[in-house]
Amino acid sequence: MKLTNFSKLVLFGLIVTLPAVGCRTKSNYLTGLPKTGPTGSVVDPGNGKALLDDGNKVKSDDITGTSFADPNLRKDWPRDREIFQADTVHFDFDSSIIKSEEKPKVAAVAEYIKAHASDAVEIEGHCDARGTEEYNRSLGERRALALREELIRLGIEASRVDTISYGEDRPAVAGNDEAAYRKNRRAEFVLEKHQTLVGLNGPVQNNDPNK
Amino acid sequence: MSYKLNHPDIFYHDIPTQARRAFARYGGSNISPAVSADGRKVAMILSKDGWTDLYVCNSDGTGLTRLTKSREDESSPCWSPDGKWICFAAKLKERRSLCKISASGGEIQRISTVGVLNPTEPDWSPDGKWIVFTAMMGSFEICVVPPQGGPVIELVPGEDPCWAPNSRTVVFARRTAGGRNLSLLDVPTKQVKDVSRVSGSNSQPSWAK
Repeated sequence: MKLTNFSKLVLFGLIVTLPAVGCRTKSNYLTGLPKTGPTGSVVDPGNGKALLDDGNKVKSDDITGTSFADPNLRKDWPRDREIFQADTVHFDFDSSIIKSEEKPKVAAVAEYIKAHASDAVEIEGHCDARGTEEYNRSLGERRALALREELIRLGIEASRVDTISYGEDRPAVAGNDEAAYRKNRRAEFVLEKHQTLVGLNGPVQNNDPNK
Repeated sequence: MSYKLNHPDIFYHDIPTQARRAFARYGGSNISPAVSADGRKVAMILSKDGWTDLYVCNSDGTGLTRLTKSREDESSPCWSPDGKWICFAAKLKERRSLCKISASGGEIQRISTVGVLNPTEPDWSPDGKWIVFTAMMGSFEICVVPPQGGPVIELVPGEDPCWAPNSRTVVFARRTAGGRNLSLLDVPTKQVKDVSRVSGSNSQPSWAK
């Protein structure tokens, strides 16, 4: 019995690592991934109580988030990681609050996005290694979402701001000391360049609301 | 959960046939899927509506329901063995806590974890008697607490705990110099035994039940 359980576990260890292995080696025994998402509309039962900092229940419409555009909309647009390199925002330990000294960076990104009306921006949230992997995936997303809210507050349309969290998977620098942690608790802005498709009869503008 | 399509999305992976289908590919993060014991429901964390919140849906992806609304963190959902409750980690009154909510929605109830700070990554034992979780207190400690809350029993250093079907053994991840390694923990005796490493860093185990 013990052996059986142990074998099961080893098998499961393999399964747990398969997705990661699959990404790198393109294993040919994995079937292709369908592009469709789930069907059906979202039901909001209205009785899920919001959590506030004081833990009191509030009416569900007291807290509003800002929904995302279709995640496939810009998946093929070229990314420019260099342009906002100086605008990487850093965070305190276990915090997704944007510090006041970091806000000018967000404003600079907002100005650029405003001036380039067909481009969009993706915000990558990252963490240091001091939380668990799963906790950090969520924390990285909250950092990205906080910056997204700030961009929206500065007048950028919500539909032009995407987020992605890498948790602690992609540290900026290696190391297990505060100096490294400080650099790794961050969010990076990536420009999503409006894609120009080249058709048989020359360039074709795609997805540009202004054209 | 995989970044295969350059984004954190949730997939169904059929082990006998190796077939995969996309399950949740909304905007923002699609993370931390947890299937109920009867296989009919999936709880997960989505940020499609602007915050990381707890959602539940049927195993075919229909009937998506949002259970929480908060700027704060909700993470790591797991199911009670009878499928009535979802336990998760959240922040209540400035304190990280384990919580539970009815799978059909309702009020959030705190599960007190007396003696430790920052509980996360809960997993409910198949016999319903214990919740194993990770306490983040500088280091990471594997702990258990009864589902109604109360004093915590600290077990060993580690993270990502998951119960075996026997409700006695826990598989978890241990940080070592060469990356993470899976280990087995016999909860009553606190004995630990490493699982041979498959390749690279091994973490986030889930036991077939």
